[in-house]
Amino acid sequence: MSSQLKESLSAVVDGEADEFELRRVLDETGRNPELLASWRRYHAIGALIRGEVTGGSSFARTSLNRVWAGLARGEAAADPASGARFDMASSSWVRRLAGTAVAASVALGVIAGFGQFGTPSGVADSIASAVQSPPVLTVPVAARLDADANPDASADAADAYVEANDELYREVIATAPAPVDAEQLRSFPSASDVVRSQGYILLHAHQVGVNRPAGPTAFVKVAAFESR
Amino acid sequence: MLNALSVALVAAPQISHADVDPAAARSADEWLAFMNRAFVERSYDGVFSYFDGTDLATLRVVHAIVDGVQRERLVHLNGAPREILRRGDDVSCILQPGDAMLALQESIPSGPFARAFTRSFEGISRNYDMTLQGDDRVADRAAVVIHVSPRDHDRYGYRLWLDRDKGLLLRSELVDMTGARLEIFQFAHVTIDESVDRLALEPVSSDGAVVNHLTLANAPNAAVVDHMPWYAQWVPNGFAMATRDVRRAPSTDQPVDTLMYSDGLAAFFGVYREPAGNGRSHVRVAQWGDGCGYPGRGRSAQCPLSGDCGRRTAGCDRATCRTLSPLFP
Repeated sequence: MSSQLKESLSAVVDGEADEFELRRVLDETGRNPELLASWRRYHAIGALIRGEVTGGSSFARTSLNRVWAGLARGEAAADPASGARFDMASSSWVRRLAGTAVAASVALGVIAGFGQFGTPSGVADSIASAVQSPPVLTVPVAARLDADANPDASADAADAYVEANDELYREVIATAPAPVDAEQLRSFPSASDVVRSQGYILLHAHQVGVNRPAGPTAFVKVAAFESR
Repeated sequence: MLNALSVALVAAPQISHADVDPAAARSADEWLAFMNRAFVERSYDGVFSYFDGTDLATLRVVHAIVDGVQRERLVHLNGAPREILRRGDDVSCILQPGDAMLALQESIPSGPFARAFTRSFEGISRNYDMTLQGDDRVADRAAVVIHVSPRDHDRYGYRLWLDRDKGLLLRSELVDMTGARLEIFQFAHVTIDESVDRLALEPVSSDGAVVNHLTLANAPNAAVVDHMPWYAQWVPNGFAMATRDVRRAPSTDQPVDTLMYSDGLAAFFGVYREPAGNGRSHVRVAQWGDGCGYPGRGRSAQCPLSGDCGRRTAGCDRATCRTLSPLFP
């Protein structure tokens, strides 16, 4: 599949394709099995993350509940080795699929458990483990990614699926942000930095307004200021 | 004589055409001057929208010359009820109790603010290309379109729609180097040069309202300016210092030095110097339309930056912070 076609597929999944590009992708899926397979994978993952996939199993619903609970707590992924934490919710790849910000490693941990273990208890344990100790993305995950994912599928079948779809996982790893070290973390803005920045933007708006001629635009930024 | 008459007969239609339609004869520069005069000299009352890149606000502006004094009232029509009043050189901001801006203003130096040393800057054409781009229609009024295009990436560009007859700004867009619109201002409805109700220029009174006076009538104290012990070694091309000031943040009572730079049009670039504290990042942490804020971290002081400037300029904040130097060794 050409890189251009991949870009077009990404644009369609993102909802950013224009009509011409959308028509092209739809037309190509009819005669390009590789493109069709990629399309199905993207939508299957997205459906799972959005909770649209149950496969007749209550464990899918449980797993999604755990994912969203983790998001509500603002959990971020952590590198087990260094303890450095990074926010995977900004992963454009997963956000694209889920349609919203999702802790990517948590979601992938769900996917990891959803096809690899044959017993309900195994699935629950693996999901719980994934949520509490999200894996670093460099660890390959095994999953069944069909929309009708069967949690009772064998691990062998899951491994075979991974081998057949390793391009997808390479993309995940390639697009995932790398863990940051402690020094980088210290350079991130603090809450007080954010407040001060907003304050100085407001101050700046005051000073600009004072130095503009009268008119609706002179102080519009002061009048319409909203804290963010 | 016949030749001279022929020349006169040929020339006359062109001269009379210009008299009938002065708009056709104006250059882009002249249109901008016409716009600035309209802001100050004309009476207008209108409702407009302001899009800052993420959110849309609606405001009303009323402007008139009353007894020789310029009067203006700007009213925020959605969200927090705020009013900006202008009486001559005095500008005040009226906020209601509970307004989030009140809390934010506790952490930053408050007004009044010094005006620029001079309001006319030479060399705007060095930094911008100004071109006429034909006619359009805004708020059911005929408009002339002007593009103000930056010559480098250190500033943003503008698209302006001016009332063809009165010169008042009807619509404006602030665009970045890719043409993406960062801010939009547009009148939905406006009356120009019609009588203005004087009551429309008065604030709506309410108990507990907080009034902040934003302006100084006089220029900054020259003694204060001369003894400012620091300056920015690097500023974007075409920017010159416009104001210098020293004030204190209400909550901390710490002094904050302010330098403001302008390129002569609308772009200002502010550097604030406050005592070293917990500011720990050069990363841009706030973006609002064309304005962006950096907490800043210098060697011996924190140097927040804020600017209506291009992304490349804002990205050079590190150089500015690190090279801040004392004026005297």
